Amino acid sequence: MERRARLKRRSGESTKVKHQGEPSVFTCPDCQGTLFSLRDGGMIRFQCRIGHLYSPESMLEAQDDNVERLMWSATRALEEQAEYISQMADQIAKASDQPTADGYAAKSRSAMEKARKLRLLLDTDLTLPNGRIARSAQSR
Amino acid sequence: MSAHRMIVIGASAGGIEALQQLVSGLPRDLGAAVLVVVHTSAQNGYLADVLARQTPLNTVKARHDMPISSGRMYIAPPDHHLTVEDSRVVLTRGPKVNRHRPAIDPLFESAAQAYRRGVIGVVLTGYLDDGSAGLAAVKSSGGIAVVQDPADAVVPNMPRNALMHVNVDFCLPLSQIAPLLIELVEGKKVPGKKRK
Repeated sequence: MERRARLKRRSGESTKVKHQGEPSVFTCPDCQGTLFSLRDGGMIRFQCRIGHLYSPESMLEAQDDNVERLMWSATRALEEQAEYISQMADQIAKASDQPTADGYAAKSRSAMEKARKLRLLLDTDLTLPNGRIARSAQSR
Repeated sequence: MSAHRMIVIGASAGGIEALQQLVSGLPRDLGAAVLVVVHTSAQNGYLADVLARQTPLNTVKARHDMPISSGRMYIAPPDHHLTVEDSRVVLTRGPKVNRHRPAIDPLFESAAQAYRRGVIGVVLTGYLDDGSAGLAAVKSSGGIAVVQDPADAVVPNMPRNALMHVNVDFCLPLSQIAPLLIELVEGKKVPGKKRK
């Protein structure tokens, strides 16, 4: 009876093995919570309040994915802005305020250029022959 | 009868093929329970069926609160952590560990906590380092640590990382792991004092 109750509770619990650790200067790549560092023998792992737990290499991989996701987000934001400003420029040109329209068009091109540079950075990273694995092989 | 009554096995990339070979060498009357975690996609629920075809050992997809008994193999279902407590299966959908669910470390750590020196942990082929911390826990609770020889693994990283972090008892090619497990369970072999 007691065991059943415990198992039932456990199944709704966030994590099986509770770890204790020191607060770190890093945040969880999955939920942005503070990560606590755990030292088991020679290995340093990280766990957040929720219970996301990272071994050394999975932490690195999660950060890689996070950086890529955020760079794509920034690229998208810039391209959206370029599009929006360009629409504004068209509206203003129709209202015969060409100097202001030109100003907006220039700002649109600038946003597009930033986005292009980000895409270039992302493409360059991605064209490495499986960057992650190459790097972990090198570190051995 | 030896004290080793629980075998926990973890594998990732290349793991299904490796496990098919390994379990084909385990007998129907194995004196230990076998619990298996393989990193798979959330959709792949067929691993237990695939492995059941390769082994005389009674093989089931693990269900929550199932009693754990010798001579049975329990396969982690997709999208759940497989852990043990009080000789029963505990499945949770808790946060991902090492970016996986099921993950290897929670199984190994809970087995080490529940079965102490009765555990044999086995880390097979795969990328990254899930299983390293778990195998260290098995070892520090008095259990036995077994790792597939990286040179023999389709993907050597996971065994190599386990070797780096854990003072393992046995590092062997896949073909020698099932015979070793049988000998360990039957008490015909004990880990040497000096380990590699």
